[in-house]
Amino acid sequence: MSEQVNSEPNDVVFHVDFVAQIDNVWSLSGWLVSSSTAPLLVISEAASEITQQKWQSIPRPDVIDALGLGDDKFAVGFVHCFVSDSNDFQNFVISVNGKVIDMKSLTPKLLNNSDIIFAALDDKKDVFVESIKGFYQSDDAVSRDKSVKPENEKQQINFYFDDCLVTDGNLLYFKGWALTEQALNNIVVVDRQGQTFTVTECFRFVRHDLNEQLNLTMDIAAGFVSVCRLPDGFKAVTLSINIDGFESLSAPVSLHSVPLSKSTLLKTYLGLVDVHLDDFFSSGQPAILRHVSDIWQAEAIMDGLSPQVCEYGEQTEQPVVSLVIPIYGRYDFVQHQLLAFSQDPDMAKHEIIYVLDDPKIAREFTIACSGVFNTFTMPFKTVYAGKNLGFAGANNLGASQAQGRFILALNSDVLPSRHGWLSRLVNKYDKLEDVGILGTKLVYEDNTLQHIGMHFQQDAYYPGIWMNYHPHKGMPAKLVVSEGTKAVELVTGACMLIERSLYESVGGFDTRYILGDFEDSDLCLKVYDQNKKIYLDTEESLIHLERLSQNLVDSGDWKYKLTLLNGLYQKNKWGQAIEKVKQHYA
Amino acid sequence: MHKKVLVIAHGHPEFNKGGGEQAAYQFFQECLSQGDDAYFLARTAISPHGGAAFSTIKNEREILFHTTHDDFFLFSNIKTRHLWGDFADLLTQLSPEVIYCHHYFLLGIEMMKIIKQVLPNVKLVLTLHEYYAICHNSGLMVKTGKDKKLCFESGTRECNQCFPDKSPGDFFLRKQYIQQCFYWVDCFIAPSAFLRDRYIDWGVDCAKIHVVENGQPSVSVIPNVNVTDKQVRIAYIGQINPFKGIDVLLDALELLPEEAQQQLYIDIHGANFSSQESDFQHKISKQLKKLSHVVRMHGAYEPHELGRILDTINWVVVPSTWWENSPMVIQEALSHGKPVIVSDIGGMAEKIQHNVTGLHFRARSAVSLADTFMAILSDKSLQSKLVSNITKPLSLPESYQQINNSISI
Repeated sequence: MSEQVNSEPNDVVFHVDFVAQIDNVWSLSGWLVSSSTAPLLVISEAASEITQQKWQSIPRPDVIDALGLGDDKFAVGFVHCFVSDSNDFQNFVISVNGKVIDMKSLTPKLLNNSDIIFAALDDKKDVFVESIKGFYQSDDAVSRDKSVKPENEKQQINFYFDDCLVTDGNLLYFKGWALTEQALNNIVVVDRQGQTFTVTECFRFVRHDLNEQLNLTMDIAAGFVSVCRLPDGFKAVTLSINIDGFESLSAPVSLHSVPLSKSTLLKTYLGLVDVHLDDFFSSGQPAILRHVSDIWQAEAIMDGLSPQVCEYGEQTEQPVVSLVIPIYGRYDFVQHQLLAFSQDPDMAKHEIIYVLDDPKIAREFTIACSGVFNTFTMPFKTVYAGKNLGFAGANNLGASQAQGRFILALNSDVLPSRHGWLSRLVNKYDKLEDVGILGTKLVYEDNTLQHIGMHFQQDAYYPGIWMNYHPHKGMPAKLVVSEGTKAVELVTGACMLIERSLYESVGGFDTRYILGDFEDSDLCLKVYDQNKKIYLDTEESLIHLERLSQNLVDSGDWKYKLTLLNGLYQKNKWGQAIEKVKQHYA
Repeated sequence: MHKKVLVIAHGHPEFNKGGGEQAAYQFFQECLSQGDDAYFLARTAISPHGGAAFSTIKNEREILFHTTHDDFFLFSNIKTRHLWGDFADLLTQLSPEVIYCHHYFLLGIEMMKIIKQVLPNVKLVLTLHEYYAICHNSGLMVKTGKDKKLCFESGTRECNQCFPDKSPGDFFLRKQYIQQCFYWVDCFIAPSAFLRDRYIDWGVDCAKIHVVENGQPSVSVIPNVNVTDKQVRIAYIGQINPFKGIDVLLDALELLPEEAQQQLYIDIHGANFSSQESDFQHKISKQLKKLSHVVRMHGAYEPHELGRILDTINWVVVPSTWWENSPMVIQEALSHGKPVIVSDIGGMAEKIQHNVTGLHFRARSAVSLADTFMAILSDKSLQSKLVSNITKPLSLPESYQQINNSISI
């Protein structure tokens, strides 16, 4: 009912859901609204009448509810069957109570048999099918697609493709339903030259709307969806899902004229996934992980970037630390940070790199940067890739522009509390044994703990993965006894000091995590992998207004699902390494 | 002395009649009288010539600054070149030795930084007229809820309760930002000790903030009007908005017995009534109608009319429901030798001594104000007793001298 309804004079609304053509017998189902309790529905051809036609009305209380009709309007569902040699549905003329319907307004789904259409008749089905028997050339034709088949002919499966398209250059996305429990894992696309490419298997899910309409039990997962990157330059024209012993499920592949954004597609995709099902971790997960990773396409995120670098003021020569600060959503943090940094003479030794990771605010960001520089005269530079790279990608891009001996990965909502903090951290780093990353204590604005190290922990809300747990979070900082600098399991990505050479040698943050979750623990694992350690300094204390920036990515169900999938990715990637780290700190 | 000075205000009294604007303008006039090479820079909302940042009014010493905030939460003005471009240029051209700021509201809090960047040796004085830096609710230190409760101190969590759209973190950033911009101010002037204490609580260094009352122009006082047995005349003078307590005043009058009402004449000289919210207007209009035999509504007045208004009355009433700082009307009443009935909070309680130069009633309490009215009706001699206690408030030259003393000029 999401399709546009056709409104004619005398307020006739006419809608066709499905159309099927078996030989010269056409069947269609739909609903109509008119001011008559017994509307007259007639189909003809442009030039002539159609003599063999019959229709049956059926109650459609859902339509009445959805449209909120007044007392003078009546809605009925219908199944209509007629005989015509014409092969084009658009050539027919449909009239209701004498009013001709605009055929262009109709967007029926074309089916390869009439079972679903007749199913709508429910208990009236048998009588109706019996009454149109004469439409078919032979007596048994009405049921031939079901039962009477030659031995060598393959069986048909009812199916429908809602979408089958290519977007974002080479991202194939298709979704639909098929009334089969067979695995949909033999899928190919074909181009004009007949070359084929094998596509990732489908994820199957329950289509509650369909099951309701076809009176199927609610556990039947008729829905299917898949996402797959195609090879560069491959122009798919047809997609086929092959099942042994059955006819292929095929659809033409169309190019999506308005490219869907990655996050729109992610949200749509994740909307289909029920992560709470018992068998989610075993059955759905492998396909889903591949699909989501293909949508995100982390491998290609950094390809072919030509970042714009903009320098404000005279940059520090041979900086000790390069602060790399991604900006997403809120850019006013630049104003707050740079005012604070400008008051600290020690900051002159370092360089500040803001990475704009949000094309939506590019203009305002540039204006604000200019204003902030002219007002507070603190030198800094900005890097902008022209698109959203995510936390890891943005940090890696910033690091690629860095000159310092160290990288300080810093969140934009972290503010210093005492002058000279950064050089003191560097001095500590240089004195630590096997140091890889040095983090620091972070507090909220009310002096309660935001971060004093993290560790891997299981969480009933996120079953089956390791979450990054912040011990003592929210406690008044003074209550938690801590001294000096110590080795810890993990530190947060909100503030990480790491030697640039080490950062580069491990490839920086892993961009495969989608929209930020486990990049920091992943980088820590990379550092452990190099036989280096993670340290936390508790003498310095920065202010972290956590979630002021993150909340801008809208929360909700799909974000929860992403966290779960990101966690699964981390667990699959590191396996026993996580347990090993945990044992060490046990 | 003949030093070059610049007085900056958030509005010009030609367009904006608020107390802060008037105090700034009178101070500028006093600088000129004292022989300073003085300029007045007033922010304005009116349109300039062809996108210019400045224009003049009256003469070349009175400059209008066509600018506004780009961020009302932070009082920030950095996105246009108005502050770091145009204003910086103006400072270079003028190069004053002292800058007296009477506000940053609508001008931009970063003004302080720009001033010190362009003129590192300038003496920068900032007079604080209300609690804007402390309170996002129009600097009133009053809660936003329906009861508009008085607020005693700001806090990130507390302020978030008043403005749920802004997180505690946002309030933290706001305070940090304003405090860091205040770093460039050499000296703060607080027109009341109450305001000084609030800013010290909030974090301003107590050594940098001095109490100096807004100076008053000299006026000749007409002998006290006779208080006859028949009538006592009381004036309410000032803006009419929900925080000025006019509803408390009218409620109190309604509580009075008829014979008491008949002995009172209440004159309301108030501006901006028509621009208030309709609920408020409706409530007040209804009350005024009921009290038409006691209360007369006069509408707005010009500053030069004040003397004539005050000369015909016996008392002034200032029933504000917020703290106030140093209400202009109290200083003017004292200048004209009139005792003042005030709410017993904040700057009002500080400026009027109970039973000496006026009377206190419990803030926001119509019952308490009604009792006060009964007291002045039952003891008609009280008024002249209080009048005899009134001494002249700080004059403009005295105020000028005290401010300059506080910055060692």
